[in-house]
Amino acid sequence: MRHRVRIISCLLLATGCSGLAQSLSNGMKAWDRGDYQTAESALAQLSRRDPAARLAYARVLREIGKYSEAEAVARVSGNDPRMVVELSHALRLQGKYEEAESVVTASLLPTGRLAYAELLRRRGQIAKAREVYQAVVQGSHKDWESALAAAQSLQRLEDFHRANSAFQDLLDQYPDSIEIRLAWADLFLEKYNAAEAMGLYEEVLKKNSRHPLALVGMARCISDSADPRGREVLERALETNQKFPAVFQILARHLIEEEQYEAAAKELDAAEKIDPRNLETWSLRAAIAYFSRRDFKTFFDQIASVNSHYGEAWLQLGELCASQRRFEEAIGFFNKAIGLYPGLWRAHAALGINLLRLGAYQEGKEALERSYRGDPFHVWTVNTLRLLDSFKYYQDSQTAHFRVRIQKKEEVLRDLAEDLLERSYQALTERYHFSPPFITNVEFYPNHEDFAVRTLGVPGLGALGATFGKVVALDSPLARKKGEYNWASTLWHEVAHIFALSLSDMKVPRWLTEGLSTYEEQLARPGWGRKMDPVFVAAANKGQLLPLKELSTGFLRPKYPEQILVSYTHGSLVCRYLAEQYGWEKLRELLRAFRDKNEVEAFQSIYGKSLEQLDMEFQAYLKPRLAQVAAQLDISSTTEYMKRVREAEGYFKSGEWAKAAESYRQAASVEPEPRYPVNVFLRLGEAEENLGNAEAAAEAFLQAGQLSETGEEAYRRAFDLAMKRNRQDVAAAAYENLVFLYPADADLHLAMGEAWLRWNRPEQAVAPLKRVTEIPNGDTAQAYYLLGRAYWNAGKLDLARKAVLAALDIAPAFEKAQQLLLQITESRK
Amino acid sequence: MRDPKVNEHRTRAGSEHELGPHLKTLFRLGLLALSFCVSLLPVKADAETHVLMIRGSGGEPAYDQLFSKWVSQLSEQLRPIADSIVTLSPDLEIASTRESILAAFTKYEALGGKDIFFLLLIGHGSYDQSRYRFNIPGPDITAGELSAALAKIPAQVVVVNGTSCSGASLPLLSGKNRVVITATRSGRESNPPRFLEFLIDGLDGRADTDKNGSVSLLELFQHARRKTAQWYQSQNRLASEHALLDDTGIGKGNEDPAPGSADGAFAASLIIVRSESHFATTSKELLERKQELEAAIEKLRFQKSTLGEDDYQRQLEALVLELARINKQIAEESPR
Repeated sequence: MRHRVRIISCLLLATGCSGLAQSLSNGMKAWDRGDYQTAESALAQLSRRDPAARLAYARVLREIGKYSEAEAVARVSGNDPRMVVELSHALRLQGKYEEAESVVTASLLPTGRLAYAELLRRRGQIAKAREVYQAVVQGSHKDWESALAAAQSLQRLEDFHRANSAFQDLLDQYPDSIEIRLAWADLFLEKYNAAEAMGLYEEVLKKNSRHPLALVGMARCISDSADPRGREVLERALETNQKFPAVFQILARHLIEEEQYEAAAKELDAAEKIDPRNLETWSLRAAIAYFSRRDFKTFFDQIASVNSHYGEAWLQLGELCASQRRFEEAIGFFNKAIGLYPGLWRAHAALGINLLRLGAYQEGKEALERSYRGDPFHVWTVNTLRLLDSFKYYQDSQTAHFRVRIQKKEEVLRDLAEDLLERSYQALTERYHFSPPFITNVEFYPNHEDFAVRTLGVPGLGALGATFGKVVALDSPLARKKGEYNWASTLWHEVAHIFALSLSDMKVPRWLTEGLSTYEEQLARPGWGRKMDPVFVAAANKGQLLPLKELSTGFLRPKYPEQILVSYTHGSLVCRYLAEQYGWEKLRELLRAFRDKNEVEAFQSIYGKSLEQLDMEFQAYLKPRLAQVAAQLDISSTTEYMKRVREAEGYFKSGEWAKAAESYRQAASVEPEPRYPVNVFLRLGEAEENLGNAEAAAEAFLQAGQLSETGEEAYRRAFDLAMKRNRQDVAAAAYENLVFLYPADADLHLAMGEAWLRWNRPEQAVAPLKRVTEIPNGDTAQAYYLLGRAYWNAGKLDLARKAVLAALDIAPAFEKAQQLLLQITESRK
Repeated sequence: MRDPKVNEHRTRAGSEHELGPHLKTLFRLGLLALSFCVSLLPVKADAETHVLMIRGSGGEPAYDQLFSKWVSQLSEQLRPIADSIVTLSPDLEIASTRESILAAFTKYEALGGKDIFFLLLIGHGSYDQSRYRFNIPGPDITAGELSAALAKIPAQVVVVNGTSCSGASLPLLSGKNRVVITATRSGRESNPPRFLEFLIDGLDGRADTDKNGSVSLLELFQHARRKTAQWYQSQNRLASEHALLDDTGIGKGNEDPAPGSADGAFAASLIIVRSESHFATTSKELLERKQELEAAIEKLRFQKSTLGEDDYQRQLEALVLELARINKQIAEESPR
């Protein structure tokens, strides 16, 4: 902005008003650095004497939200063309749109024409607005403000590359300008480049850390993430400008996403006090009414009476529906948005992405391609189209209830996934007395970033799986480090979502569906599903557990890094409590109740209690259970369990294995899940192994594995010992759990297959041996040969012959395989 | 078992038949590219195999321990095939200094053209954009110095450089009648490689991909390469090592050599591990028929894409069945 100060000062110096010039310079400098009080007071005094100071004063007032004062100052200036434009801005910001338009209709200044075009655009006069933008671009640009108006007009005309160059040139010419930075950042934000926009806003904030537009811009850049800094910068913006409707609108949108409609409405009340006729505010009002099951069409009628092409309102409602997983409704709204304004490319993109979420691949792709043609900058569109192109490397298969998409290189996962999917479907159908009436698409992504693109459109998602109702997308085992990811429990979790979402018509609150899915994991297998752990205990002790009515925000807008994980555990514990206290049947009924009731009403109707009452009951239920886990974490605890663990640890360290084993056993006898401070079963296994009790050690290691989702080391040790001691039951259980952690381990499958053959259980040997043949670079010839032996032993001669021939096709000199083929052939004679 | 850390010079004792009951380890030059034919070649009694194993500085206890373990395992696995194994290591009587390494090379200058000289480098390497250096106590030794020393050895040479940055040494170590294996593809891959760990893993017979009872140097390389890649995949990490093999002497390594490609034919003819059953002698007639059948199978496999699946399976089955009967006869006729 310094260039503007210099220009004004020069004028004043030329007229001999050096004292005045100095005062003006001081006022402008104060404005530049964000000392609005000083700027306001200095410019107020000067404005009576000098038109330049008056203009600056009006702008300062506008920047700090004193719109009526700005209006008054502008009106005093009569027909000064620049003040007319300023007057129009001040009127617009107070919702006096007609007057704002009338004062600039005849303006000849490019900034005035731009302001006029913006007002036409608000009324849906798109063609006329474009003509005016065009005229601004083609007109002469004698000063930086005119050139900036031209660059902004180029942006409105969707000539983004030229607009970008124009902003770049302007900033090269006026490197200190705040206005150019803000306008250029707006272009980047519109074109989904939050990183570049943020960089420009940061540059502005370095000069003026209180600049409201830069602060709101920053908030927009981070509004899609769960970053608490968003709220912080908005509060800072309000400190300077308490009448910034966008601040309240952003906050309202966040609150709607968190399903806190009353609080959102309060934010909009504040916005309406400033500008009662703001289309964005009305759009959000419509969304609140929609989600609260009230009449929402009135708001759309209201919007249409101003702007019959305002598709943004439907787009916003669609986006909010999608954020609540109500994809079919969202699709309907995106179509409405496109119907009102076919050039709303974001709506095409949203339509495509949400069609894909419902498994409508072809229609989704077509919508995305339309979006791309109109707006090639949309990152989500581009990423998703690239992902769709990569589907040629995937293979689909179908079971009774699922269509499974797996990358060809990970074929070994297919039979395991299909089997688990159908098992989970059967178990959950029995529990929920319900069968989802559609085929669910399940997509495994070996590259986590592909999963993130499928889910969020951009890389960087922390989750493992996501369910969109009819589509489940998740990381495949190859996406994660071996042993650190249980794909099977994740899959079970996601399938449980399908039931909760379908039963509730997609309206189950976020915390409840996550809690139920985690609870279902826990019921499915020992060790699965998040349980109370040190992180949860610490959060509970710090009073960080959210009230039930706000628990969804723990997933949507976490306030500390671990809050999402804590919320999973919290949700699952509430579900466990409700099931144990009121019976499972009620939870089923609750899900159905969400179809036509909001969260408060649904709980009240099923449990006859408010969420607050249930929360109090839950807190009482949680207290002793929390204390039990906390005691496991407290080394100095005087519980019987901890005494035994301390004792056992002492024996363990001194190598007194028999005594250690006995003490660990006693500890485990008083604590069903002895996970802390050490995995007691792991220690017991080691003690037993040192004692030479391989079978007891194998059993202990198996139990150790079952204390967590990712007990790879424990399962591996159980497996190896069970192999040596021919403990078929332990080996089979350990094998299954190892496969749930990493199915691409060819050596593991081969060992299991060989063992089943050794134990004369050829039928069992088939599946693991087949898996070896599906793993790239596995010992395929050996696997086919053993598969041949398995079939031969099971009396399946045709299959045996085929398998052995497959071995010999790979390794013709394989003498054992040759001899087996000979045996098979001779036996058939 | 003797302590493998001790420098040893040992002459071969006894015949291959005195080796273990299941797998015998050999190191012999075969003349045919097809490995299943190689297994029929008689052992040449006049060729010798000599191993020089050099362990560099670990830099820290964990690596000293790891490198010593690899030296120990390699000594154990190579002992049966080697006429001599010399180990130079920082913790041994003859430390792996530059002088002692160069002095050790001179002892192999008298080898014959049919003999095999096997050089193993275990430890860390470095690359300064111009020169590869093998990190040893005192001044490091460069690839150029190693190359000059190798040039004086008239035998057939196998170099396995399992160090970081080893790819940078390949162009200099490459030569006629040489197989050069490096753990990395360039000097830029500077993380300590795991390649040797998987190479050792394959020496117990697991690398026998074609199940002919023998492990060729090519199979061993491919086994280690695959296992290394699988390890990085299982850790969900980008691979920071890509092993190379060059056996054409052009100084350019190949990540996936095969007998049909530019590299691999020579390495495929060098048999590292062979099962005992292959030492059985039998009648010339049976051996000839066996070779004919093996050649016919190989030809059929090349025609696979032009044949229908059923037709291919039928023809393969017929040939393999006859081969199975011949092998059974050979086994029955072979002296126990």
